Amino acid sequence: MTIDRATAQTDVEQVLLDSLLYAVSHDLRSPLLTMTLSAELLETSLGDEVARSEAAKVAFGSMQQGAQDLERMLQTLTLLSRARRKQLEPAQAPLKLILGGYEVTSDTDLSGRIARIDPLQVREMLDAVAGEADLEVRATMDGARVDLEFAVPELEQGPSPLHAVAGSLKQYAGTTVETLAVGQVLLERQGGAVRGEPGRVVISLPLEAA
Amino acid sequence: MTSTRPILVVDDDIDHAVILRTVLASVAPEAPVEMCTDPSRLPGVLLEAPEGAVVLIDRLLRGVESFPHLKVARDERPDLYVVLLSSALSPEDRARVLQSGARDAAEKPGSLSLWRSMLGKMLTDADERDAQRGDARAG
Repeated sequence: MTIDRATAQTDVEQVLLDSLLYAVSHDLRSPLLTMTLSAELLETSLGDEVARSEAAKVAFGSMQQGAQDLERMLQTLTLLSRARRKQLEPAQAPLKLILGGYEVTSDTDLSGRIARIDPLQVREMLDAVAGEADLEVRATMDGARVDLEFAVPELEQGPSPLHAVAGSLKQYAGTTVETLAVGQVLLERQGGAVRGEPGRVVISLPLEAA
Repeated sequence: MTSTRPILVVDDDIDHAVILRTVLASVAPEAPVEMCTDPSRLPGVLLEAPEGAVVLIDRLLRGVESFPHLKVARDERPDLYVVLLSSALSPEDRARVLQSGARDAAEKPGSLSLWRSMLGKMLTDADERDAQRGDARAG
């Protein structure tokens, strides 16, 4: 097989996988909704009978918990699917703007450097990790890129947030690692990169020439 | 006062359509509700919907997006208040839905209380839209 044919085949497979991801995230929610709402209707119509029966209370509680877990995991697949399909426009922003408000340490001067990336996407990732607390970011220049390194205590496996989510949807759905995985998909489509190992993540952004 | 506005539910998932009708019975007990679970009856069922009806239409009908029907409703029956419902709806999807002619679009909620508040708001919005149209005609 020639390289061109292999590349074309890979592209077709990617499109198919994206379609499958979309179908899974969308189509599975439909029967889940049916089950969740039907259980709620049943519980409402049985009223006091449920309250009097320990078994019924356990059964309805378990159904609700199971449905919430499924909903959470499907939501993660939906977000990843949207990130894969989202239309992106070329974007850029000063590094100082992207990192404004965070405690940044760097051996080199970052002023005047422009990152070729959607700044809101990077901010969303950093904000998700920071939460209400301060976030320390270590910035390291590496030729035409800058690496932004910060702690993510929730991350327990590498080599990236997306790998972690793929490895354990149950563990990471609805967490900060999910936000980082979705951001990873979007950044990598723009020429960025995200890698991670237990406890820390590095976002690598392409820079305009100095 | 609860709405008496006629409602048309278009959803090929019979379970969803029946649940929706059940919830509507508590939100607007006096509103007549029609159901269409067979997409092959479109667009006819839309064109023959009662005057001023709220139409709740699913996004995917037998795997086919219902956007063309939104355009038909907008062009042929501007009196209808068409709302698209979907199991999953991104902001981009929502913008596309509104461009196609729906008055509103929403993700199907995961609890009955959220269904009730969403449907109640949609019926109120439809009533307000009609009141504004009436004012504009009078003015």
